Amino acid sequence: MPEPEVPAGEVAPDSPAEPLPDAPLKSILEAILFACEEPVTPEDLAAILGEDRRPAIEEALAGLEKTYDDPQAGLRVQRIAGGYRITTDPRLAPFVREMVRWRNRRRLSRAALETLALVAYKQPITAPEIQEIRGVNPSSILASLLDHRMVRILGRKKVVGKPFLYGTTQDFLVRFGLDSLDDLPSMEEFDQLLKTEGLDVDPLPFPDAAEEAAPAPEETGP
Amino acid sequence: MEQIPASPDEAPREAPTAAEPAPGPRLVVGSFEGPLDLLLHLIRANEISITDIPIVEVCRQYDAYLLLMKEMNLEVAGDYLVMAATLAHIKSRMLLPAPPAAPGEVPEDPRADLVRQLLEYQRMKLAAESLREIDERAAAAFARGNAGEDPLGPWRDEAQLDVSLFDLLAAFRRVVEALADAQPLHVHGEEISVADTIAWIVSRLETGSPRHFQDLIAELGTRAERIVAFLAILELLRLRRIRAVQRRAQGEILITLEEPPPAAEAWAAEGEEKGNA
Repeated sequence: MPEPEVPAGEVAPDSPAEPLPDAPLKSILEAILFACEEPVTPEDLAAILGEDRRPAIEEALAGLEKTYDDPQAGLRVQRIAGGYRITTDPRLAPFVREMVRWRNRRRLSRAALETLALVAYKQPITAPEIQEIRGVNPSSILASLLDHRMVRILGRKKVVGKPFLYGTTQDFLVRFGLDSLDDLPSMEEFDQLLKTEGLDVDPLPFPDAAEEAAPAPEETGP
Repeated sequence: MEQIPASPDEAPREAPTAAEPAPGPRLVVGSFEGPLDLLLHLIRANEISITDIPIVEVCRQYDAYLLLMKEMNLEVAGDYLVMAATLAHIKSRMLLPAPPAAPGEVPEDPRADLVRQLLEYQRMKLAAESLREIDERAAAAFARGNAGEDPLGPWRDEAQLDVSLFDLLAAFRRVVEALADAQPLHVHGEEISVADTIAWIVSRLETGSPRHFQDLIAELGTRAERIVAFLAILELLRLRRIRAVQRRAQGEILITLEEPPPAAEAWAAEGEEKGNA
């Protein structure tokens, strides 16, 4: 850990550690982030440390992020899904992987990624709308993505059949290491790529996903 | 232009055992690719422009692929038939004189909707590809509690292209055509099972991996055996026991054994199987 601000007291293994009521906020946050597996939001922290300390918490989190942004540190403080968490330095991944055995790996299939991309970029979106673009019935892929909490049901669309509207989840942001959906590359970048492949998208009336007025979901809940 | 697949008429006679692979579920093509993937495959293979598709030729090749897939006993998902009907409809509109357009209105190309759909699909595939890259980057930062999980596993750092079903079908057709001297099936009532062939393929790969897809298929003497081997390869791919890659588009296809042995949980895979029936 980079420069601990509170020197670790020499404590005999069997005696309980003395509490440190006056520990610096930064150390407290560092300890909490280390202990938590899920990203911790400033709201979570303010709820336990006191709402009045909210500005100090935000400041300390930013400070912590900076402290870990150090080539000597093996860890990073990462902003993710609107919160913070401690992760290993991605550049050290080859070493970390050597140590860890992959028994539980989960890979997103191509079809799952394609469906997820559609949901991420066009949410809220219904299953028939996904089928129209992929040419394949997406219902069981959607069920699987729901199971793995990558997508969720936002409501129902006010059209015939009242199909469910799907959107991405917090878990989606966490898995993909995103702070928010704004961190995804823009659709314009893909259009640029298509053009370099000789596919000019301009002459066609090509509805822009971002601009396309998304129908307001009727929030009836799942 | 691609060559038409071998006539499907002779298939039922030549591949009776392949037509009824008793063990194992029938493969649903949609679990690999959709009809738009087949169209894009034809467009790439023929080096034609997406905005100026020779619809008659593409329609013919598309139907030829559907027949080939039926010959292989691949269950063709209904989505493929919908697209076949769409293509036939566009073809007829292209062949017939256009209805008189309203004054001041340019009649729309009958292919316009299809082109839009293909472009939108391409764009979505790029988005999916970028998601995969983001996923790969994210997987390099290990958070607590996730240490046992690598979302990408052995696919990491993989620069090779994944092979589509249609690349495999095209390669398979080349082997079958190149080895037209293959012994016709002598019916001795000997059953070639997919399960046995799977075991054979795995053992071949264990003694030397990767192997060329075509070499592997060519090791088998009869057409029926080859069809079963093809089905076995698809099944192994579906189970993620093997992987099919090529180093460049339209290149040689390499089959490699998956390491470590099968993922306990290949999630979203089960979804694809059933999704298109």
